[in-house]
Amino acid sequence: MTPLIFDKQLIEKCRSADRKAQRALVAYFSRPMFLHCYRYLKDKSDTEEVVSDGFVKVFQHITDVDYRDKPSFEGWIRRIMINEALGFLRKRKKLMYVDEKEQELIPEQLSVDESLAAEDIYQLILSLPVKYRTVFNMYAIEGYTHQEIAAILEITESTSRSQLARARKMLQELMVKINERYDTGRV
Amino acid sequence: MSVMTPEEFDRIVKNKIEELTSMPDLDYTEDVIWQKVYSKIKMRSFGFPFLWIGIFLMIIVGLVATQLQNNIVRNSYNSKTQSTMQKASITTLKDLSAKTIENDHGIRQSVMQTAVPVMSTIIEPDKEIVSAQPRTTINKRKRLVDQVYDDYIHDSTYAYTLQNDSQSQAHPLPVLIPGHTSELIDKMQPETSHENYLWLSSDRIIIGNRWFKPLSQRLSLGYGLGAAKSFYVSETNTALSMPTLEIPVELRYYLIPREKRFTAFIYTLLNGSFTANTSQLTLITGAKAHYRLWQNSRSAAFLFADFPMYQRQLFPKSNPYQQPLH
Repeated sequence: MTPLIFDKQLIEKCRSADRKAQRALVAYFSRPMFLHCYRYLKDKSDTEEVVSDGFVKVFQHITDVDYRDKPSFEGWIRRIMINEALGFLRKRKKLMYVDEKEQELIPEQLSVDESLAAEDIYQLILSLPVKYRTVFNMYAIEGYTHQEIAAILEITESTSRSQLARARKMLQELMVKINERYDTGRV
Repeated sequence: MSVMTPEEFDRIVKNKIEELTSMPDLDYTEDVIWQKVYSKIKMRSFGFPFLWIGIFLMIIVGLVATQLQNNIVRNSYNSKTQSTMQKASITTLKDLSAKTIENDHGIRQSVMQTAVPVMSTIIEPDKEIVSAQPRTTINKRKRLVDQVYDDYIHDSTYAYTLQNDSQSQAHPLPVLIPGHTSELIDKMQPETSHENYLWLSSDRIIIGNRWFKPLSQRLSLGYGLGAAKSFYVSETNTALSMPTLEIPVELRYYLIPREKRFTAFIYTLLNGSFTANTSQLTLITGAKAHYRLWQNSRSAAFLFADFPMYQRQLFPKSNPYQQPLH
């Protein structure tokens, strides 16, 4: 069993293409990266492909990155994974947005029941349509700006805003529904 | 639930997502990811040269096999022919001494009967090939057989008809062969898969194992060892079976990526078959479709359909004077 220990030495070994170290790095980061990518792709097989492609890129460029600390290194890997997932969706032509004007935005009245389990919220995000889900993931979870989203997805900023607003609204409605089900004991 | 700003909404959702470390519904293992990563790293490192080395080796094997069939087989056949002719003529002489021969026609009939296993399917009775002198008989016959054999070798249509059609027609149309293949993946060398297979067809059972090494994203080279049992009906309508040792070398090009549940690939298979008395090298090209029934991190089970399109026996060539077994 590969020990799940992450330190600078492991990175150094990965830089020298040590297979055991590479395997340990994959074992350490693959689960969170799988969850991040699955949130975009919603398909296990596609996610495995994307995550493995992402790790190949990580090992290709690991000599170029300056290791400071674990969170920054994990952030770097996560960016690679998200880019891979977005590239995969673009390649499959699942992100064909129609440009929208900003005045068509829906007014937002939002609320969250904080007692909802993380798994439930994850599942609710997965149930959003892929276009809403992508923009919501990028803006709300990954922290991209609308300008960055527009550049990456090749859409206008107003389209990004309206997609985000719709995603929030739909997520809100789903949260209310799941709360109702919890209340009536149907879940 | 209190009304909040969109930013607060996003923050709460983000915090919830960040605290999630696993999803029980997702059947996920690190091993699967590592196997894919490892094979992709290997392919990027070595895939390109391996691809060309693989193609080059297959071409070399094909050329060598073609050369062998033109030289060795011919020599082997000629020596067989000579030996058979000698036996035939000796027997004929015995027959001649035992019988009262009245004319040439009688002699020819006697010789023809003696030489039935080898001669009856090819030598036409109209041709003057037999004389009462044994030595002359051998020489004349040998010349005739050589001539027919040369025609056979050089006349591609005739050669194809005799040599290949009997085998190609074993699968004249794409056929669905039920079978089972299970694939084991070596944890330390996940780029090489180990395949156990059991194939059943109307006249054959094959069991064996093969190792497959991916040469690129789409191309794989396989080699292995198997045992087959072929069933056929003899000329006397007796059901017979023949055990065979098989050494296949296979090159696959995946039309659908091999990771998918349903995959299809075209293949070129060079199969060495060895029985107690004979050995032969057969080239088969065709297409196969795999459907993965089940998989875990170490193994997978498939059902497949085989569509052999072209089959050619490279070495030794079939004896044109013998009837196909079935």
